[in-house]
Amino acid sequence: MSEATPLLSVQSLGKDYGGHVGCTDVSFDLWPGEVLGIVGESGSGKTTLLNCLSAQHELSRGKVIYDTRVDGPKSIFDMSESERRLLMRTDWGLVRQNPRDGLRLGVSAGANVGERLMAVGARHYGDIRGVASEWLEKVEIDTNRIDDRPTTFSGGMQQRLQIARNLVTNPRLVFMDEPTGGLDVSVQARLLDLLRGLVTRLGLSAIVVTHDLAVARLLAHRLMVMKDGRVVEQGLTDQVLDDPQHAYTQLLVSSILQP
Amino acid sequence: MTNDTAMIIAEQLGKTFVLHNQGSQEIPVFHGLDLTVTKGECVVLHGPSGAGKSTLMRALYGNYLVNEGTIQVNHNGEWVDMSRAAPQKILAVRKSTMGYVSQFLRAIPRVSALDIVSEPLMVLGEDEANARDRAGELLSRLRVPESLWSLAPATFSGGEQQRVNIARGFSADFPVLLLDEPTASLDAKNRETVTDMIREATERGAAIVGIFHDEDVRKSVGTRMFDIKPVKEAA
Amino acid sequence: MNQAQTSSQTLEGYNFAYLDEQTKRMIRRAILKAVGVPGYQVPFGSREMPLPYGWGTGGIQVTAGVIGADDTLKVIDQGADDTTNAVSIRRFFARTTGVSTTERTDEASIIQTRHRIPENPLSEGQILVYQVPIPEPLRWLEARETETRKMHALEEYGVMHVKLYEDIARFGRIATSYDYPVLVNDRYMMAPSPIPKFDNPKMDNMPALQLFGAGREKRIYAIPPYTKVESLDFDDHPFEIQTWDESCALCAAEDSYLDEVVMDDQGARMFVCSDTDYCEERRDQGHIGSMGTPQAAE
Repeated sequence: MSEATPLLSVQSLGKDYGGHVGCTDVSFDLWPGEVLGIVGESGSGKTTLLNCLSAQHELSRGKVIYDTRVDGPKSIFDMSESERRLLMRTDWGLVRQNPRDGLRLGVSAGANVGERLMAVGARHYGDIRGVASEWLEKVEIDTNRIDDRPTTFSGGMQQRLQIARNLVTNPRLVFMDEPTGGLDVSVQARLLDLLRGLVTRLGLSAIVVTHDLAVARLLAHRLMVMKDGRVVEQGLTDQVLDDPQHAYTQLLVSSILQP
Repeated sequence: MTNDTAMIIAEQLGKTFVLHNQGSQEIPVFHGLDLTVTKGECVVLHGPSGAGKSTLMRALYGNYLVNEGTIQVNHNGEWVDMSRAAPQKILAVRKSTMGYVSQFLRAIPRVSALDIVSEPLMVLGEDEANARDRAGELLSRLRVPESLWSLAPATFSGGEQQRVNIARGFSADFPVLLLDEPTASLDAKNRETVTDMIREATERGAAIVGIFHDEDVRKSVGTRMFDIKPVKEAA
Repeated sequence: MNQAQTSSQTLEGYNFAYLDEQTKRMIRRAILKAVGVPGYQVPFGSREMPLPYGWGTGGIQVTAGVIGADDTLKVIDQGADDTTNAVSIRRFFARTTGVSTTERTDEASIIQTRHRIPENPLSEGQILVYQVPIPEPLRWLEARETETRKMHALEEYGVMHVKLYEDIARFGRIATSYDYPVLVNDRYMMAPSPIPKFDNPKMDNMPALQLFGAGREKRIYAIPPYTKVESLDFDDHPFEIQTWDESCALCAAEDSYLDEVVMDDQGARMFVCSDTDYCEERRDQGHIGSMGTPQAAE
């Protein structure tokens, strides 16, 4: 698992909204095949951080350096917009909390999955449809629904469709914002199982923002705990959850209800 | 100090829990602890309840941090300090060098018993069919009925869950094994089977650290005792 | 029918071609930019014209920008010279410029058209001016102008194929039959205006200059002569033009775009060339369709 260059290197990242600190002083490296969980409560800055990392927002301070396939490590915010947008369409994935924000609701499931392929030049209808079908199977959506619109899908199916749509170009890094938020518990379990499998099998790196520590324990190798825009603790997931050092982490861990 | 057969060298370990949300209460567990474990040894951690046996074991596994000292583990010829190593490194050590059978099985929804047991081998790149065969062998040996293999263990009895846990720990022939009360919920027959398995592992050259509350088991598998005395509580 | 109309003087109180000279220069600058970047939509200061948006104000402004005293103008609407709009626009230019007008495609130097390309191939030196309602081919998918501009700038055209994919998934074939998107000069995606896809191949490598004007949306774009224009498709669903089982009822043409005309309440119908000039020319040459009558001498 050890590589010479980290896949993503974040250096002293900070984002302010006027006088208000969104997040600040964030530094870490992410390696290929690693899943990093970012946990915290509402207002902790975790979503702001994710948005900065995935280039949705400009930074106020710091750098985000990504190890590109062709040119090696490059600073995301020093790239041209077209390079960045291409990266986001091919090497990266972004799974949003609400699948409706991450899907085209007006076109079929097959078109949703095939879009990224068409965006990078795929021009054979039969092949595109074939790949889309394969991916629907991988995320456990009945392939007979390939021509149905996502508006006819349940929340869990929409979320799985969003995942397929993102993974079809074999990205190396996937950002996920509360991927199981708002889903029924049994649906969550299924989705988490799927994500675990995909991450392992495809050797993906992922950054997962969640407020649910159980999700973090299941998916993440490493954990970062955020409070008031800062990282208060980070380390191996099971170590942070079983032997929390910081007062806030201890509070978080002890607050979980056991069913 | 290091030699060919040493697998774990822990020096001057100290651990104190600080409970920030309870008035920063400090709970010292151990201090100045030295432990070396070599191949073919089965070191039994011994001490009264609360003395820190589980804590020490978790520290060796990288699950707990220590405040003082170092924990060097022989990871395929490379020495890794589990108390300071980067998460990737610790995960690499856990993947191929150090196995851990905890007291409780953390059941993941939807993952079958067979998948749980075959996972360590699959992660090491073993062929899926072979990994599952090995998993089946171990589950059979531990008398887990085949009808349960495709089910998720969340609904199993305590003893069944424990046996799934053990099977998982023994599937990949780890050079180092940490066993925390592996026989606690087992009947006599299964206790005996597990004892045999531990002895076999010792004979193949594994370095084992174990906590066994059952004296017979201790005598049967242990090659050496390691006492942990409780530290006097801070005023 | 082949009369060339001239007036000895243009309408009093109006500049040549209605627009003032500075406006015409502004339009010509936009046209130059458009010709320089084939298929790229150039914003221009679209003026108030004496007819509402949706009636060809863009086309009229482009024509006004390029028309000169020596030009001969033809105006067609859905291929016909004699529909109300074609007649009005032709008369507008006749009154404000005094130029000759014609219905013969091969006699015109400027042809303003709504929704058709003439059947007769055009030649070097001719200008074809298209009236465009929605210049943005990506508008169906992306409502934000800021976003579509970026997509063009960054050549992010994959989404256009999504539309074609949807058609095939839904109807078994690409259902778009007019305003069929094209790629110009291997770079810009363009909306050719609501011409039937039947006409798309004519745009490719055309010897004439093609100008497009959208008055309401305030955009001008262009295809210079001999430019590559490709209609989008899939490798396994190639671009196809419309075909008919019938031929023109009046002139027996088998290769022109046919309009279907319902003749009575029982549903009797006839198919007639949409391009009136083309049909007439053929009839003059002696071609007679199933419902045609031999031409009487003029």
